[in-house]
Amino acid sequence: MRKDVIELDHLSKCYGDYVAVNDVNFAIASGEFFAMLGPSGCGKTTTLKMIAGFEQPTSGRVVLDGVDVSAVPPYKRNVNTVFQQYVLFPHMSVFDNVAFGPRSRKTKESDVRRSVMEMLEVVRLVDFAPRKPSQLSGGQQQRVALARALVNYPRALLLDEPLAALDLKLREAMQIELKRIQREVGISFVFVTHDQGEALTMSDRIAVMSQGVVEQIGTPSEIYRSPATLFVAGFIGSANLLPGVVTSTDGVDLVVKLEIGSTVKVAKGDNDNFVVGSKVSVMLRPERIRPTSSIPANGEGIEGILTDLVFQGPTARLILRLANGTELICITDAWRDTPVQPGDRTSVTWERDCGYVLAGWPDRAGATTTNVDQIEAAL
Amino acid sequence: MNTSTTSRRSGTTRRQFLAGTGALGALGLSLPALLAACGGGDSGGADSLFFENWPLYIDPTEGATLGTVDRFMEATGVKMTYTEAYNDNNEYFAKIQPLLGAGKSIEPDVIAPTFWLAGRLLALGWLEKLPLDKIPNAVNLEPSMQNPTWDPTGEYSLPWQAGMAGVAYNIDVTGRELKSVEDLFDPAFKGKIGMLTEMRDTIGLIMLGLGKDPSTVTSFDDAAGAFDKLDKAKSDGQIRAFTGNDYTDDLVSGNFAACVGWSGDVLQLQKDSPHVRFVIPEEGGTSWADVMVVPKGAKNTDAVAKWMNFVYDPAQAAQLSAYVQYVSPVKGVQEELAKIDPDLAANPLMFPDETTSARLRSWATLTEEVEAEFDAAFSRITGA
Amino acid sequence: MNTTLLVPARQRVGRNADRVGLGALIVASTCLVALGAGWVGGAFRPVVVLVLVAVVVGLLVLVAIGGPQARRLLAPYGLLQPGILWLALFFLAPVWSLLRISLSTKPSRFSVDYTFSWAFENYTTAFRDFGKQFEHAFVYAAVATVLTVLIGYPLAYVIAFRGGKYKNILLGLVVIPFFTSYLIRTIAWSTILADRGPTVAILHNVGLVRLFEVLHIMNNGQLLNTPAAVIGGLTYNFLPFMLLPIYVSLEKIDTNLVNAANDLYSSSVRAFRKIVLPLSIPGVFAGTLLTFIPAAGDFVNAQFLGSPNTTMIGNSIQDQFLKQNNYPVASAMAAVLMVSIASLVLIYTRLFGTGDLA
Repeated sequence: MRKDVIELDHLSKCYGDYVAVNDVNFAIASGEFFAMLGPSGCGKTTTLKMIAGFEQPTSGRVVLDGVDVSAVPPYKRNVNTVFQQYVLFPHMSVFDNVAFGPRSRKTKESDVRRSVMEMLEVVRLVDFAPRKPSQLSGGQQQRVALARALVNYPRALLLDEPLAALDLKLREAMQIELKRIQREVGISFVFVTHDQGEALTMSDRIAVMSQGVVEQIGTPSEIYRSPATLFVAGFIGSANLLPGVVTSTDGVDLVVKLEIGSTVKVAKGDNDNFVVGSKVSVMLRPERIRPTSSIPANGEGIEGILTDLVFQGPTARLILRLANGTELICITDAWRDTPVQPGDRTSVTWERDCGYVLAGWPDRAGATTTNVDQIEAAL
Repeated sequence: MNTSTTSRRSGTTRRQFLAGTGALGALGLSLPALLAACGGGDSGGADSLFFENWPLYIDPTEGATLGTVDRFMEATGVKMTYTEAYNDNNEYFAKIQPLLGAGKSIEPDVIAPTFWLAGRLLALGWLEKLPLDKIPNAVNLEPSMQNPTWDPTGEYSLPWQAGMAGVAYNIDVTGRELKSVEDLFDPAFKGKIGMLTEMRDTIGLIMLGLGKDPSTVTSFDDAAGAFDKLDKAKSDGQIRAFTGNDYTDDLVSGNFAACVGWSGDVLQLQKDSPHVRFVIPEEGGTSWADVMVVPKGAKNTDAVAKWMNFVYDPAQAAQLSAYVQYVSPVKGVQEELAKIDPDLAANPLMFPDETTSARLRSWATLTEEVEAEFDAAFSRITGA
Repeated sequence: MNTTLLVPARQRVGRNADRVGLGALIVASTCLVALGAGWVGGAFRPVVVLVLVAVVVGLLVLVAIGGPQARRLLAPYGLLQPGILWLALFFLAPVWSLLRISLSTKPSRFSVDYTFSWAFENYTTAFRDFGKQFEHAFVYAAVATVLTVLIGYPLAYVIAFRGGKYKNILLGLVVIPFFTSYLIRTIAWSTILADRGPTVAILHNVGLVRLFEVLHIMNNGQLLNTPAAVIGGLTYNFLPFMLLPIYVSLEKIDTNLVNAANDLYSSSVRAFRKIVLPLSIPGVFAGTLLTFIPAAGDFVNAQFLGSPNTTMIGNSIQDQFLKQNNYPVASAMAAVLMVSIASLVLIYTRLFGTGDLA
C-alpha cells in the first residue's frame, strides 16, 4: 500500500450561505495521478485551492504528509500549482520563471542552474531558456508552467484545468506529455478538470464532484461501469437512462417495469438492495445495445422508431424514439450492416448483464448528451 | 470675477472675493484682461462705460444705499462695467503693453494707474486727452494736485484717489502698536512681514526709515541702502511675501503681522476687522495718487466725461470718500463729508493736516534709465 | 483623345510620387513654421499661405490623377501629414520663436518688438540671477516626486488589490477634489495652513511644533512660507498624476501571479518585490514624468504657499514675462528649463527605461 500524500478530512468551505465544498473526504497516494472531475461550480477548484493554501477551509483539515497544514500559508506548503492560465511571470525569462521557486528557497545559484536546466530538459524547452513567456506558444507556456512547479520536487503537483486553454490537437498531445512527465518525475498529480474524456484518459483515480459533494471516487473503469449515482452515470460518458419501478426480485435479477411500458430484466449488482416498489433507473450504455428488427426471445429489448443514423467513421450512431417520445442513443460498429433505415420500426436489444440499475429517476429520461461541446455549453 | 454692471461686494464675502480677485489678478487671468487680449476695444454703444480699477476702491451698493456706480447709472443712464482686476501697476502694464504698443485698443475706457505709470503711458503716447470741455466739475480738482510734473498741462489725467503708504498691522499678531518703519524689521515678526510689489511705496518707506527722502532721488545710489536692507530682510526670512493689492487678505487673517499698506484699504477693513491698524511711521510715509486716464483708442469718451464729471461733484465724491476713506482729490469733499460723518471729516489720514502733510513724501519723477535700474534691482529682490 | 498622352506622364508621376510626397511635406511644414514663428511678415505672409495651399492642392491633384501606384506611394505621407503639420505649427514654431526671442534684445525698454542679435547675455542673466530659482525648482520637484511615489504607490496598491467593490469609489475620492481649480485648491491650503489657522493651532495644542521645527516642516512657528509647504503643495497637487498611472499598472497585474509566487515559496514581501513591483514600474515611470515635469515648471504653489526665499523658476519666468516685460530673459529661462528637463528625462529614461515592458 502506497503512502498517502494528501488527506482531506471532512473538508468544507462556505462563502456566506453558499456551500462551495461540502464535507469532502479523500486521500491521494504518493505517485498517483488523481483527477477531480465535475462541472464548473462543483467545488473542485475550491478544493484544490484549499490544498494549495490559497483558500482557508471553513471546517475540516488538509493533511499533507501526515501534518495538518490547514493554517499554513501557501509558501510554506510543499505542493505546487499549475494555474489554468499558466500565470508565468511576464517580466522574467523562461529560465528565471523556472528558477523562481528554487531561488525563493535560497538554493545555491549553481544548484538552481542545474536543476532548472534538468527540468527544462524534461519538458523539452532547453533552447527556450532565455526567451520571455510572451514569445512562446500556448503549449510551450504550459510546459514552462509545469517545469516551474516540478523543479521544486513538491510532494504533490496541483493542476487547475491545465489544458483548458489549449486547442483540441494540442490538448490531446499534452495529455500524453503530462502522463509521460508524471511517470518520469513520480510525483502525485492532482488534476482538476471538467472534461471527462481527459479525466478518463489520464487518471489513476477520479473523484467526481457535483455541487460541493464528492459523488464517487474510483478508477476510471469503476466509475464508467458502475456509476454510483445518476449524476455520475450521466456525466461520465453517455448513457441511456430509463426510469422504472422494481416489480420483482429473485436474488439474481431485478424485474423493472419501465415508464415506457415494457418490462425488462436486469442483473442485480453486488451491493444492490432494491426491493419491490423501488424507484430505479436502468442505465444502458449506447455501445452495449444493438439495433434489431425484432427482439430475440431470450434477450431484453425495447421497441421504437429509428429517427436518425449518423456514420462516424469507426462507429455509427443511431437515435431511436420510443413510444412516449424518449430518445435513445445506440452506437454500433460501422462495419456491420445496420438492418434498419431511418423511419423504420426498430428495436434495441442487449444482454442481460449489460443493463445497470441505479436508484432514483433522472430529470430527463433517455440519452444524456455525449458531446463535450454540448456539455460545456450547458454549463 | 466681478464683471457685473454693478459692484456686488458685501461685507461678508469681501475676504473671499479679494482672495479670488487678488489671486486671479496676480496670475494675469482676469476676464477683462482676456477680453482685452482678444483685441476688442468696443464694449458697446455710446452709453456704456468700462472702468478697470483697483480693489477696495469704490463704495458698493449695500442694501438700500446705492454705491457710486449705481448712482451714476441711475443719474445718467450709462451702462457701466466696473471691475477690480487692477492689482499691481507693473503687472497691469505688462498686460496692456502688447496691445497698446501695437496700436490696438484695450477693453476698458478708463483705468486708474498710479501717477508714475500714468506718466509712462503718457510718454509712450498711449493715452487719449480727456474731454475736459465736457467735464465742468474738473474745476473742483484740488489745486495742489493740478498740473503734476508728469502731466504738465493736466489734459490727460484726473486723480481718482490719493493716499499714503505706511505701516499696516494686525494688532492681534503684533501684540503692540507699531509706529516706526523699523518695526517691519523686528525679528519678532520674522516671516510675518508683507511688502508691496509697488516699488515706490516699499523702497520709499524703507528710505524714509533710513532717513533718506524719496522726493529728491536722482540716482540709484540714493536708494541703494534701502535695497540692501530689503534684500537682507528677504534673505533672513523676515518677509513673507511681496504682494499687490491682495495684501489685505493676509493682513486680516494674521498671516502678516505687519506690512506696507495703503491708508484707505486699512481704514475700510477696520469696519469688519477692528484689529487691523494703519500708521504713518514716525520717520514719514509716502504719498501718491492713482489717476483716471483714458487709454488710446477708447471709444466711449462721452460716457467717460459723464463719469468723471459725476465723481468730481463734491457731494458724490463725499459719499465715495465716506466708504473708501482715501484722500479725495475733489475740493469741498471735507465740507460735504462733515454732513454725513463728522468723525471722518476730521480724520487726518483722509484730510491731512499740516503736521501729517509734513511727514509725507511723494516720489521724484525718475528718468527712464534710473527707473529701469530701480525696477531691475527691485525685481531681483522680489525674485519671483 | 489625349489619354494616350496622359498615360506616360501619369506613370512618371506615379513612380516618383513618394519623392513628391516627401517634398510636399517638408515644404508645407516649413511654411507652417514660418507662419507660426513669424519669420515672414507683411506682404510675404499671403505668399507663404499661397504656397502652403498650393502644395496641399497639388498633392490632392496628384492623388486624383496619379493612379493607384501614386496613391499607394503617397499614402504614408498622407497619413504622416496631419501629425507632422501639427508638430510644425504647435511645437516647432513656438520653440523656434522661444529660442529666437531668447537671443534677442529689446530696442527700448517698453518696446513690444525684439531684435534678434545673438544676445547670449540673456542666458548669462538667466543663470546668474536665477540660479537659486532653478535649484529650487529641481530640488522641490524631485522631492515632491519622491513623496508622491511614497504616498501614491501604497494608496494605489490598496485601491487596486484591497479595494474590492469599493475600488471605483476610492478612485473617485482620490480624483474628485481635483475637479476644483488647481488655484482654488492651492489657496485653500494656504488658508488651512495659515499662521492663525486651524492646523497650526492644533499643532500648538498637541505640542508638535518643536518636532516639526526640527524636521524643518515648520519654521518660526509657521507651516506656510517654508520649502516644506511648497513641496507639500506640489505633492498634493500632483498626487493623482502619480497615483493613476501606478494604479493602472497595478490593476493590470493578475493576482494569480502573486498566488503563483506564494505557491513557489515566496512570502508576500518577496512576491511584492519580485513580481508586483517590477510589473508596476512602468506606472511609476510614467507617473514620475507626469509629476516631475510640470512640478519643475510650477509657480502656483511657490506663490501661495512659499516665501520670497522659496521661489521656483516658474515664478521667475512668470514674473519676467508678465511683470517685468522682459521677454528675452524670460525666454532664455524657459529654454534653459526646457532643455534641463528634457536632458533629465532622457537620462532617467536611459537609466530606468522600461522599454521591453512598454
